[in-house]
Amino acid sequence: MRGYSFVAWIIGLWVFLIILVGAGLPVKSAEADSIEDRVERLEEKIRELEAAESNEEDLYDIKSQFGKNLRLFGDINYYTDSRERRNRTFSVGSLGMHSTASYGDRLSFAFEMIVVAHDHSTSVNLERIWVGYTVNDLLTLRAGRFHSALGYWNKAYHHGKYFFDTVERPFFLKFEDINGIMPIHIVGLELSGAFDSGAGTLKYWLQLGNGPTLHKDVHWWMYSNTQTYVLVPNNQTDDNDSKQVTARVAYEPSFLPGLGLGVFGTNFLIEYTDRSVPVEVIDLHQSIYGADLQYKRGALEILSEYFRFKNGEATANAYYGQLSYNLGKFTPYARYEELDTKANDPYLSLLSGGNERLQYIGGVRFDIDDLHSSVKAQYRYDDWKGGNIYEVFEIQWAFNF
Amino acid sequence: MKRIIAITILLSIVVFYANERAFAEPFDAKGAASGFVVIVNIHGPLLDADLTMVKSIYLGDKKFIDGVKVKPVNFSEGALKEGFLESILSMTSKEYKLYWVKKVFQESAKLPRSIATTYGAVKFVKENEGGIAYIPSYSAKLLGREVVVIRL
Repeated sequence: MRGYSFVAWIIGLWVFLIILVGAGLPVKSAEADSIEDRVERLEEKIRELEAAESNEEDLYDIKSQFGKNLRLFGDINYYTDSRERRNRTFSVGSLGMHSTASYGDRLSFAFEMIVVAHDHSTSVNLERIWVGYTVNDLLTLRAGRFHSALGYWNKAYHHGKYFFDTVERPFFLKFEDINGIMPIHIVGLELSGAFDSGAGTLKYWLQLGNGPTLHKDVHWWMYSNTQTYVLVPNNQTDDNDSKQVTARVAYEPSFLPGLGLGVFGTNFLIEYTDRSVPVEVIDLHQSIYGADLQYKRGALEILSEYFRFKNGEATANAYYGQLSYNLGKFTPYARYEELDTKANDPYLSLLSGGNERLQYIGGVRFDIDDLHSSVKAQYRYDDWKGGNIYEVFEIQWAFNF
Repeated sequence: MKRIIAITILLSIVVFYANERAFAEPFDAKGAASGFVVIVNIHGPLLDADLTMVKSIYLGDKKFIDGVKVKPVNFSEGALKEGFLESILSMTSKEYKLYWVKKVFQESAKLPRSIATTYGAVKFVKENEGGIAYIPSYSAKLLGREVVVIRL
């Protein structure tokens, strides 16, 4: 009997051990099933996404890229009595449509068209259109209509007023059709590039194109006692064989990040009829050259440019200095700008906007949204030689979408 | 007139000096202290890239090296991207976006690609000779052989 008890103990012990080991064996639980399923679904999803990306790449060469980077820029303004607008007035700014695209690593395109609402009509202007090919960092070739490389502001800022802090560009950098005094646009070829050295980055722009021509200003009576003219870029036909050449070189030193220094110049031929001798066409070779400085670091931005106008008979100077400081959503700014001319300057005296003038501007920009909308409010003191002084209060709501 | 110019220059110097004080921290040991590392393709031309070059790449000024198109990758919006932009470019995310919006519409520049995951960034750099990206520094040990970390 004692022997049977011992055997029973051993058998019982073995059964107990078998049960214990069996309980510890790894079995597929419902939770493990769930994790495996999830991993499988995720892998399937990755395969689908990779396949979709591959399809997208196959269609890339066929699909139009127009509209991929398409943006509209506009602004609505309010002015008190000013030289440009009598009476306190609301004003619709121009609506700019920008689009850019690229195919592969080297081919690029840009397009900018504006719609301008005049008092009793609307006009559409093709402002920029170009195609470009990038050989390497040192050389990009573009052909089309672009902003001339006269200084920093003209290359950095186009028709979208959202991009700059103030309500308007410096008055002597206005576009040709609103009394600008410089050829802001050029139709032709542009070479550009950048070279990185240990000491900094050197950038250049070299342009060759049609020089501007002169058209009679229908609003000359607002600015002068005699007929004045506006500059007009020659889009289709150059009115003379002479070509405009423009160049700018800019340097961004490594020792002071945020600083940019540039020098630039242009030369072009204007043919005009002397008012005193109407049948005689006079050739006027005009040069504009100067220097620019920009400093942008953190909250602070300083912009400053100097232009010197020179022809066979007279010289003139134009310059501005602008300071702004970002305080989160608010950016206060101030600018001083001046055009200093001589009465006998054959170039500037022809132009509606060529009168000696200075302006003080102070204001603040408020960013409603980081990228799409801002409101600017500024005071502008406008002194035009021989004309009235205007103290203007301006508000602008600039936007893009 | 001369007084105005003198006052403007004096004011500019004061504001400039005050602004520069905010950037007194030297650029060294970038990345590690900010929680990211910069990765490049081991077969590409970026193995010797330094801080200046990385900055030029992410600002769109440097597009080709030895004939190879450089392809920078940003992380999606978040702390990692903010840390990288602050350390390398001294820019906030908002300033960086504005910079690129202007560049796209001035020059038809191509925006750097944006990727949401470390896996995606590493995969992109692995598959593109000119690829360059930044990832969390703790992920650096998981890179594999085709992708390396560069020190700035």
